[in-house]
Amino acid sequence: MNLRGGNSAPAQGGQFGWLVSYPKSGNTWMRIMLQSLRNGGAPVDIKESIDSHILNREEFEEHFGVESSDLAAPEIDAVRPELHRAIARASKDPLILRKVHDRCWLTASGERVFPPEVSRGAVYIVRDPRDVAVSFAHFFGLDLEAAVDSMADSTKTYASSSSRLTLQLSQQVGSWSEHVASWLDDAAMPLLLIRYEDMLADSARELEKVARFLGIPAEACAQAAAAAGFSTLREQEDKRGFREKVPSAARFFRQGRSGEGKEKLPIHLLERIENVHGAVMKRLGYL
Amino acid sequence: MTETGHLPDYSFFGLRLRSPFRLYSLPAWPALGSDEAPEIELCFGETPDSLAKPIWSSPFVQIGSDRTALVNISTVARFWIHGTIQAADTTIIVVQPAPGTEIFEIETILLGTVAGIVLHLRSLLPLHASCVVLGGRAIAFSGPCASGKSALAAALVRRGALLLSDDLLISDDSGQSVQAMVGTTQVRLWPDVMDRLEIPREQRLPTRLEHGKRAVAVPAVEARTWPLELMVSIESVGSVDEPVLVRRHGLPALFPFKELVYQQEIGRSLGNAAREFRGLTALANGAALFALRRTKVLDDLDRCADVVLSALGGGL
Repeated sequence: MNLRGGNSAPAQGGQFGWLVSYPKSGNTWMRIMLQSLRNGGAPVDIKESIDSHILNREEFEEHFGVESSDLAAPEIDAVRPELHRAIARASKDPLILRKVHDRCWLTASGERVFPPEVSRGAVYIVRDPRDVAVSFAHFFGLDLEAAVDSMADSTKTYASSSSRLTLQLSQQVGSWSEHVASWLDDAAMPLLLIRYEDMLADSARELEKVARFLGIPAEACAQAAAAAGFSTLREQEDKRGFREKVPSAARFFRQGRSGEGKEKLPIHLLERIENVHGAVMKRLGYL
Repeated sequence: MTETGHLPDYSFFGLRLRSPFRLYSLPAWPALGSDEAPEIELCFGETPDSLAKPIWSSPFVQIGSDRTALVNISTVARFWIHGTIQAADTTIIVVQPAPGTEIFEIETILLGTVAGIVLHLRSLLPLHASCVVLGGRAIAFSGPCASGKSALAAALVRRGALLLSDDLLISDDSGQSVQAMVGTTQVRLWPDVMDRLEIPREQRLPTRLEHGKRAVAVPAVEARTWPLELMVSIESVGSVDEPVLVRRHGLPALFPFKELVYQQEIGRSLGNAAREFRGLTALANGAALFALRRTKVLDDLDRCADVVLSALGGGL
């Protein structure tokens, strides 16, 4: 264990490499870099789907042979660990990369949702919560106050509406602090902590850390980082669109910088973030 | 739970089904030829906890080596499906309700997960698709979960189409042309779609307790089969501003098969891979294939219906 938490030992032998973050923290950027890296540094067409997607209903139905939209949320939550094991059993890929926005949680019967025995390790990407708040507000079409509220909500779940059907399965996210702490303190698997701010400073270097941790050949890190450069992605989105953009966002690749939170958040929201998340922010060097 | 009095037999995706309780989402079996034995018999009774040595298994479904199956939705019921050694044998579905379950919940599971397994056991090809009849043509909509198959079918029914089946469709390639078999008489929708289509609240029937999805009875076709002339695969993407219909050709237009074939893994465990390939090839050759690329927002539902209708009006 290091000071920040997590077990930074080299990843173990399971198949899943979990790419974990609270939303709007650089996860998609890392996924695009990794996709390029696994293709020798080739460009990634973001109009087409990116690998390492969040778990969805299609996979649930494929592996379990059941109509997922006829099930109640607790019936789906209870079998999440088994779904991960089933995907691992069925895949010939020695490394299955998956984006995760869930906090690290247990089912009602106390089972780990991300089973260590099928996990190679977790890459946890963290970003200054003040910057997350601004990005979050733009992405979901919220005002800053509502974004900060959402980040403080312990009960926050995604894709769990009873008024509409979503492709993604429901995800238990919790508050920003709980999200960070749940993974850093209780992942029960090797964990590599990556800071968004370090990705901005030198994305190739951070990608190389991730590649070495997950056991991916790291020779093409510089090319992959260039292929997923912010201006490249932004240009692609402008010209051809991005499949993962949500309707509430004007664009997905917006600013891609740090320090925006301190500039744009009013004092009372900056204070609120520090009050609610101060302990974890200090731990990560954000305060 | 057994209802007294005379209940009709039902058309269960083209098969004759006899039930001890009234079903609300299947058409009645035509009175003509009513002395024939049913192909599927539904009854209440004891079911095994699990199957010995299943050849396919998940937390909800087990397929036995002896062509039996067990579906276990613990808060609703267990369904034990047996008797189908040959595809033509009578299939028995034994239902053991869970305490406190409602009959409509049993019907929900029966018409989805259980139906797919029964149809695979009988060597039919169940597609994950909704289908309407419009201007004398059957048009099926496929696509991943939450892409809007049922919503688009319901939107077209609102514009005068008739429902042929919702979510699960039998494509019958035994004759000269591919036929779509009549399925459900209700469409199952979520509140956002029902609000969008202005479906009155009193018409929204529950499918499960404490669950958002509702069933709505809609005008449905009477004939048993209809030539399946159009197959539209719906893709929700963030990279289009307006829905567009794009012509596709050949078997690759139906990729990925695992998305199009209902419970494909179960069908394959029952040895239906060759049957699946034959059916999909017939479909690719027999129907005009399209992709409907739509936005990710429900706001475009009416425009999706417009695109389909104007393409039909233009003769495709």
